[in-house]
Amino acid sequence: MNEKILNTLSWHFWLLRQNYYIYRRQTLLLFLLSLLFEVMIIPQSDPADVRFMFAVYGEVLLPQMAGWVATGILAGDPSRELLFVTSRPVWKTVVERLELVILTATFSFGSLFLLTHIIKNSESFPNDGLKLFLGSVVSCLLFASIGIFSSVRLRNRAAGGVMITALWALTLLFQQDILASEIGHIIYPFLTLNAPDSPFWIINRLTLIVFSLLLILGTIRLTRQEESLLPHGESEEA
Amino acid sequence: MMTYRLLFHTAVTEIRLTLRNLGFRLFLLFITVLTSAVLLSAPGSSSLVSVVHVANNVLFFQFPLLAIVISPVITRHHSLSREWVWATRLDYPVLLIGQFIGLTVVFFIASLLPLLMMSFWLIPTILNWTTNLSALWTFGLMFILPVTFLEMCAVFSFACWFRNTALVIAVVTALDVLLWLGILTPAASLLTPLNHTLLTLHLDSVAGLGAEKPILVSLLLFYVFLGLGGVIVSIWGSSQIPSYGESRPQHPFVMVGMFVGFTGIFLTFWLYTLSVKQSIVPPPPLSSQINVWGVEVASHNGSISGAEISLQSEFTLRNTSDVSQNNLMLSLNTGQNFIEATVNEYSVSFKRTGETIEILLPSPLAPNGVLNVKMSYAGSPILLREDYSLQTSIQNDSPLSFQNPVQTYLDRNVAYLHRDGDWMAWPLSSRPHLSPDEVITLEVPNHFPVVSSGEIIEQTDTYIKYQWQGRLPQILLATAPYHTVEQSGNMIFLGRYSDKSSLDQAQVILALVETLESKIKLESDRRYTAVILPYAQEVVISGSIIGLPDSKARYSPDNNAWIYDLAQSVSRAWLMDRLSWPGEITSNGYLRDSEIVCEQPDETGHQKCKIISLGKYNLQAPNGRLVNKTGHGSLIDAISMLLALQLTEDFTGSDAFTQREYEIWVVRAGCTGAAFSASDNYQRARWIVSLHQIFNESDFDKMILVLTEKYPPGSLPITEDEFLQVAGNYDYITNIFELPLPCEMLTGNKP
Repeated sequence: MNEKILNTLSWHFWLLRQNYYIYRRQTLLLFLLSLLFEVMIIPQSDPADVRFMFAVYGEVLLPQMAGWVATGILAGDPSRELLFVTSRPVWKTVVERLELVILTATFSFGSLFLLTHIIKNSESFPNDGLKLFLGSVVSCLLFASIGIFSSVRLRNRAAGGVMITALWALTLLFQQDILASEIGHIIYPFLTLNAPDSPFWIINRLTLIVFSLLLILGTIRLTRQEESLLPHGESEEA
Repeated sequence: MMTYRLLFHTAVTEIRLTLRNLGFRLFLLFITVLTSAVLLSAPGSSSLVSVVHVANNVLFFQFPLLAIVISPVITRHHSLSREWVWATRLDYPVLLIGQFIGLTVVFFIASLLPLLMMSFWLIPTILNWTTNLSALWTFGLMFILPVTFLEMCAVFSFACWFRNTALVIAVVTALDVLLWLGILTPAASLLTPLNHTLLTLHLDSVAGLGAEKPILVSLLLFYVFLGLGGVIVSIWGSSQIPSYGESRPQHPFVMVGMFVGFTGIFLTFWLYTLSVKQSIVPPPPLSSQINVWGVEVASHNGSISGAEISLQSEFTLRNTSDVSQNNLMLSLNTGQNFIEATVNEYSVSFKRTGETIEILLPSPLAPNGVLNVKMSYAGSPILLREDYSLQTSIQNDSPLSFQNPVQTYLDRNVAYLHRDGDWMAWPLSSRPHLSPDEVITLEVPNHFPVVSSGEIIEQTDTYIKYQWQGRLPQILLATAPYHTVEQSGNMIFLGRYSDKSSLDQAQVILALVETLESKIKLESDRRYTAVILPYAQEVVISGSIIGLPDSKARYSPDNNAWIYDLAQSVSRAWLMDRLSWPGEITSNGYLRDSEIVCEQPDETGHQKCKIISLGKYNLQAPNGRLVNKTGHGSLIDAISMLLALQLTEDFTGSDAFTQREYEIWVVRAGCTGAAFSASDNYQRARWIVSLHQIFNESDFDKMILVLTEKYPPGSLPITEDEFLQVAGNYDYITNIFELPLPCEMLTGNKP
């Protein structure tokens, strides 16, 4: 039994590694961004400032980038027609690649955390590290799922990118209006940054996870209609 | 010819491809939604404020979207499926330039969308279709096009160098987020890039770009040249890639473009820094002579021509200090140059020190000595940004700064001269610029409507000569391309870009002034002239001329708070015009680039505070400044608040709102929390409550009338003790009314 599980996991990691080679540039880019933020965090001594930088990176910048990478999972694949003619269901490849993107984002943020912890003393490290970490993971999941769903639904990577950026921008711009109501606290994606002490924080994260899972399920459903996934117009990118 | 044809066809093809791109269509949808949402989220803003607000937000949030739409257009040339690009006779630089032209055309046309949306949403605020809409489009295009161009150029250049869409988007998004959250630029200032300068931009309804023009035009041109230079260097860099074609033709226009671009960058940045340098407060003098000189006779003769004013002044001054003086310091605007000066008919040397001119006296002047000074000076007065640009950071907080009231403004079309303004040389004084014997004669161009308190002594088609004599009123002159509205015998002069909110505000203020004067039993049948003043921050009442600032909010009939705010401004301005108040010139204040952090007070009430420098982000007054604090005190605040409560009640016909406001003062007068906050507010509250409890409304109004007769402007200022003496004359309050004790004396804490 254990051997079977190990074999499955090993096969799964092999698949992730294969996908990593395709997305090597994008995944390395996320780690590069972490390093850039590390350089900006080092001079900060106040835990509040360090926390702010963590939240900006983990909950605002990283999810947007993860969302953009996720838009290319299917709509940005120049050989996507090949995926449709193989016997392996397309949704499996999509989910594996999505998993890779979210894992990379998580590791990227985790490495930033770890590096900061090693370099800086514990006094200047924020005391709600777990909250920051979980907040970031959920935001990445949300934006990645919005990215994959909108790009597959619109059959265009740029359109998917515009969708996530538009939602991201409107949420940032109207944060005060959204956070003025309780419903706003439940659906606002940057709650760890803008209202970390909100009593709705856990409900907010759970709601966003549910919403993300629904979008992923919607994407899986869309991938079953292979003909409608064929590209139209100029939609290929480097 | 062949190259131009290729450029044209490439540009047309790029336009077609972009218009077919779903991402671009969603971009248009986003801009539409964003513009509407921004306008609907601030429904009370005037149209000029809305233009700046929309431009800021659109420019900020379109940047990552431009990266998403534009960068694939360039990076796809490097994907494996695009070998044909290298195999055709189309040269790579020509292809890139053609694409850039096509994208520029498409996104410039897309930039009209926010303006179309603004025109649609702002229709209800429009007062004059031609001027309001043309202003909206002119200012909107002026802000949006150059910055959009810079953003496009940045994305295009990044895409040429990085050759990877994800990297371009990551860099652009990181830049945008770090700017938006204030990490790269914690405070908005003159020297911060992109829309941080636009964030603090003040568009004036009378002067338009006005004082901002030199800064803004050079900055926007700098953006254009910077973008252009970046794109040309990127195209040149891309053309160095080995081509699979037979030959690599040389393009001299790339080199010419690089030369033009870099020359433009250098020149525009130099112009920008020059304008910035002129608009920041110069270092104050090391020593100053405040209230040292008494002006016994003053005479000024001059003329305005274009944006320049030239004056000849003559003073008879008395040394009112206890020590002899070796020099004479006069305040004079930094844009005006001293030409010559004589003291007692001897030519003397002088030098400029910050906002003052220091004249070296031929011999020391003993206390009570008198001297005669003649001088001539000319130039274009400069309005310093510290005086009108109030917003200091992206968080919108405004610490105490070194702001003086705007009392002088002059450009080619607009002139505003206040009696106490620094357009006219005057010894440093915290009191109004009044002397027992004073004459001003001024020649003013006769192009636009003029509001003046002076007497016309000569008039031709090109100029009007005015004269002011005796006790001068505050507003001497205001002229601009005003449009006038007559209402119930009163005249309203609105700025050329004023909208309906300005007219509503002017009408309400006129009604409030009439109510106030009839309450105090002053002549209530006189006619008033309300005029919007350029860059004014407060209402100025000058006899029958009422100077108004730009309206900042739109009127709504149920907005009692708005009426109350206006009533406070009116009553304060009225008290300033009718009574002599104590004042001081002080250098106390905090630089806008600093922040004060205080610890909790200890058991004895002592509190440690420290000033943290945020760095040299905001250089509007880098070395501090001498600031006139006339009319800042608990007494004038309390009287104006009580008058405002009465006026609001009379105007709205209901006391529900004023009762609530008064309750807030009552709570504050109890000193709860006084140790943790500014003591001024609590002292003001204690004055308000004491006055309100002791006086009935009619006695309070009578007492103010008595004060106006006893302490007119130019006389010795009224102090708190003198006020108590006047109040003590009312029989029923003798021995009851005392100076309200400060909170720290009640609670034992020292805030």
